[in-house]
Amino acid sequence: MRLRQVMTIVLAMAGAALLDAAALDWAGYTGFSISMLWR
Amino acid sequence: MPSAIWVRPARWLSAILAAGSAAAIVLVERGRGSVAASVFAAAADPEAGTSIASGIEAQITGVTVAGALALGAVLLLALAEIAARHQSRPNDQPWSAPLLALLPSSIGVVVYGRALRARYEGAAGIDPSLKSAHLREALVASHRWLDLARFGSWLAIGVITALVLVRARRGPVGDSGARLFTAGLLFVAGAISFAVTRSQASDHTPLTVLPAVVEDPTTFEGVPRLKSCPVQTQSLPLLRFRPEAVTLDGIPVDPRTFGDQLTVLFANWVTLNRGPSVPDTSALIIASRETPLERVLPYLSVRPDASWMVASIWPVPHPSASMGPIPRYQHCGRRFKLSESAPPISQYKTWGALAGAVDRSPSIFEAAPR
Repeated sequence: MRLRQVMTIVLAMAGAALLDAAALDWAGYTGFSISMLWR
Repeated sequence: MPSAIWVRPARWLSAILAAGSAAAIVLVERGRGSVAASVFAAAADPEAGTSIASGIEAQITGVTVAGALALGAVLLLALAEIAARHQSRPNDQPWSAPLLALLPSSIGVVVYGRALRARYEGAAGIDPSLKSAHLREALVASHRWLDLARFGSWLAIGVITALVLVRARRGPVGDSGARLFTAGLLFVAGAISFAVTRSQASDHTPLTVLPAVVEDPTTFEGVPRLKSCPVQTQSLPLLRFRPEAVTLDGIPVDPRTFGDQLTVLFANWVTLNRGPSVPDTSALIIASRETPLERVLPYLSVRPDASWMVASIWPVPHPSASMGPIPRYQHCGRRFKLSESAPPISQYKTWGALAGAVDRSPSIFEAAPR
């Protein structure tokens, strides 16, 4: 397996993992925003 | 190949869905901006409550739509990539793999959005005094879907990475600089998204429900601020001194009728569901620091040996990562007692001066109503 291949796989999967985390954290903020109702 | 017919349209449709998801994200961010602006403009803007409600509505709808469109975009693109690979480049790396790893989070966001909608609407009929606690519990319960999706996402990333690496070891697979570049772009997109959502990640827990939260701090503008001020949750009659009028629980009073009104109020206290028993404090007094004591004294004199309470507010700002310190206040108050044997209260010229003396007193402050 060539280094370029490994790098491609690692970069793509790490990018997907970061996107996943960002999407879930972004959505989860909605709960905090709703809690402004009873500030 | 028949599959080639729909590969290109599928890619286009996927791009359109992705653009729609981006638009929904913008809608959500605008809703969040609207909520944030209302929180800090509340003192001057009487429509802040409406603005918060519409900002929340935009978020709940936007999150669900953004998740659903992203899910559609990812699925379509993954299918198109699978078909294209089988058609022309069977030895290429399975490029659909990182796309499939995005599925758990997309599904999680959609389910979370739907759960939020159901629980938010379900809170509408709840008793107002319990609504905040109920809604907070509902928000925390909905967030569990995101936690589950996070677990699923990590699992998918691990399994897919392992499968792709094993496949790459088995035989010669094609690779190119273009693929490495695209993978790099995906990584950069992920890193940027991750970086810009860190403050939102820090604020994933809803605000706590304060037992004596002040819904409208402007009502307390100018009231004395006390150094020692216990949180006030007891139900008490509210005697408020405005520049133009004095009110008891919102109804105008004057010193001549105040005593009778207070007597009637306490006689019906339990019947009116104001509390389980008549309170030992005559009233919570809201007055600005500058209010002359000679304006207050006639009201205090109707119960010359009773306890009263100086109303104030206690700041409990929430240090959020996304909005900075969020101003929050609780009702608080210090009790004082009228007693003929104590020094005369008239030595204090203003309500603020009396409140200062009450605040400095290590025990319950006493003064004679003269």
